Amino acid sequence: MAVARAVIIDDGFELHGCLLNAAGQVVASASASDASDLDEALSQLRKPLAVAREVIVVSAAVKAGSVALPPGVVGNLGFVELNQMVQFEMSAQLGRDNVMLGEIFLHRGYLDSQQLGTLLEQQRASRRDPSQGGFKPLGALAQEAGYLDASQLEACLQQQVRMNQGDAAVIPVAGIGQAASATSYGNQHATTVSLADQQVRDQWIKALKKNGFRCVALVPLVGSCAGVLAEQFQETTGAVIQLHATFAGVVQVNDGNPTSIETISFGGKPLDSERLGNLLQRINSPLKVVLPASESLGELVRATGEHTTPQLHVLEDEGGIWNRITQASSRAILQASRLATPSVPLKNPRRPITQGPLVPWAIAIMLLGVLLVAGEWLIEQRLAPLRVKLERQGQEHVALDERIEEYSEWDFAIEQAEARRDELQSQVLPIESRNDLIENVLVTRTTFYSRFLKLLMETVGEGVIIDGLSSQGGEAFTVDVWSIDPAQGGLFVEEITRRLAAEKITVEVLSTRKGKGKLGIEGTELKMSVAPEREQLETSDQEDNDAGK
Amino acid sequence: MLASRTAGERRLIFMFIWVLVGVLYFHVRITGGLVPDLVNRIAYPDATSETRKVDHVVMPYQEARLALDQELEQLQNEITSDQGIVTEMAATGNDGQRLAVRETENKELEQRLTVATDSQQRLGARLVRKSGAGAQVAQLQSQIAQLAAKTGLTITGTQPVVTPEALGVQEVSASGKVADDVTRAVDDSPVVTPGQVATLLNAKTLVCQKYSLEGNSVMLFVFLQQLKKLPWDVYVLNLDVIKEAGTDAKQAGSPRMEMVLVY
Repeated sequence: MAVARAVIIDDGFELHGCLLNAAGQVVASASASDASDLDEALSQLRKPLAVAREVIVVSAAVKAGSVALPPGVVGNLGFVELNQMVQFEMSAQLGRDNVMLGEIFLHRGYLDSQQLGTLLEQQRASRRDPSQGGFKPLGALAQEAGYLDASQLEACLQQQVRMNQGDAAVIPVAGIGQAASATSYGNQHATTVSLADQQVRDQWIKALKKNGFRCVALVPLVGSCAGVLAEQFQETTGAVIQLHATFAGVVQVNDGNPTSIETISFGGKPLDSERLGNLLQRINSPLKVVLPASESLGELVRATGEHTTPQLHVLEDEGGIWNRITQASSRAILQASRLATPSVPLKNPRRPITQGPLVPWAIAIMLLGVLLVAGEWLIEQRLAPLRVKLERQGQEHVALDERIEEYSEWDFAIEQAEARRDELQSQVLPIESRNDLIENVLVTRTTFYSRFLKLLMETVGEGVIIDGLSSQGGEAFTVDVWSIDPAQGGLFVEEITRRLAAEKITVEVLSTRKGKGKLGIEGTELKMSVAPEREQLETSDQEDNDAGK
Repeated sequence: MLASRTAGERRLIFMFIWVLVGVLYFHVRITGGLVPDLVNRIAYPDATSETRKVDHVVMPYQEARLALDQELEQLQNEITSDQGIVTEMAATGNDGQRLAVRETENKELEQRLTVATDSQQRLGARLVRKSGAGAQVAQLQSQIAQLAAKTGLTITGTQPVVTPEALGVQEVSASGKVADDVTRAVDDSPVVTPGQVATLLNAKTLVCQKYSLEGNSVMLFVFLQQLKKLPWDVYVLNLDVIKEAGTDAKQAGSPRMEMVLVY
């Protein structure tokens, strides 16, 4: 299903909307009288053009031109630089005059050029002759003449104010047409370009979107009908003249290539047949096709008499030029003809980062980096003492753990050693005790008894009898001796004492008693104690005894 | 977006972004809160509240400081506890030097055990076998009886000695008092202590037998000399010779003898 398309033409003063069917035929049209208030004007066109979604905008605000761009600049220059170059090349055509109130009257159809001329003459006369009431503005004169009422005059004045409020510092956006091949003698053919202010473009796109339309192209009004030369006259060389109330657009075509696109402003002065005739004569071309925007302009052309020459043709359409521009623009957009003026880009390409404002971003990134580094440094400075303390305490803790482990190992090893010592002692002590018993007690005691008996028998003399021998405890021995004569007993004691002293055994006479012995004879009884010598215990011996306990 | 803004608006947006970045950074790295918690939850969805503190992705300054403070406090407590343990362990005196002393003692004890075992084998080689298939006690007793008969002594009775009281052994000093702890008999003295008596009576390898004899006291000397010629070791632990009173020399010259033999 083909989508219906609409073309909205902005001649600088009014909006003309035409609805095209799928075959490219105009099926409906409407107009808004004040193009200066774009939202309001489009809202007036929204209902008649509601079927359409896509809109081609043909605007006088978009300038057309034919410039000879240096080879290769289109592919190599950046978007902004190319726009600026096109703007520079077209600077001669971009001079803008303030919109005159009479031009608005003409565009709104309140009066024609002749009537405007009369009013301007009256205004000049009023300036020269103060007796007639003094200088009168053009609006007042037109209202007095009955061409319009007060409200219409107010609307025209407001439109003039809005139209003359243009921003001098425009940001250009240029559409580049197809470049023709170089001529046979090496010169570069001109390229058709269009140029608009980005703000104007954005206003159009925004206003269309607001009213439910989508802008598909924004093309200049001048040059929009250049294709008529080939389509209707099958010619490749000639001039197409779009004649509007306040300006004329002239497209010169040579060998099928547009060599010049020129917008000729009438400067706010009313166009008469003489001025128009001079204009038409000045255009040097073997074929001149004039497209008048209105019937009055067509009559003005005929009044010049130029239409009688075979070189000039006047193409008049019913209802003005708008249907022709609509169809021509639509075809041009679809076919992308070389003769068609290109649309300005509807969207700026993304600016390469290398062409972007690098310094602010670099500064921003540097500041961000400084912020992060400073913040992290500050955090680290605050945490560093704690980390150092933690590490130091960790080392101290590890050292303590190692000491505890070392002590534990010593404890365990000492415990094992002491257990082993106890085990060995439990084995050694009984054996040593038994060995000591045999070696130092039994052997010694047995030997002592034999030796002691022998000693007693050798020592006992005449008159001395051994009455008894007994062990007193484990250490001492008791010897009972009887002698007839005490002197004999004393000699015995001396002798036995002397002999036992050599063996570190002492003899002590415990008692002496006179009486009858066991034989019943009077004599002296001696009780002797025989015991080994004693010595003081040494301190180490005492400690050994304690340890043994 | 910025293309349609005025220079003043762009400046304000730029400043707002910077303020936002500063606030976000302060929030994330200094105070913490929602954003770090969100990052933690995304990065470690399975982490518990405890492990999240450790396995953090973005640890804000205040949380990091709090965690470090807690860690320091815990470590300090552990250090204090460990110092107490070390002090207690050091007070026991168990150290490497003490261990070396114990090991030296054990080596000496092992050497003593070896020497004592050798001595035991040497001393026990001539002791009469007390039990088992080759028991020789009866044979020895028989030989002792024969030896007494040969020397003219009459064995009037034998009695095994099983208690110290039967021996009447007690330590006495030269003055007749019980021996004190400050003196002792000189070495190689023929003394026996109560402890040695106890050892003797508890030794299963030794038999303690009391013999009552009658006869000539001179022959007792001969009897003791002959005991040495027996094939087994026989020791004299105790000897009492008591000459009974009589009306004549003959009666008085026949003493009663009691002898404790160990074999």
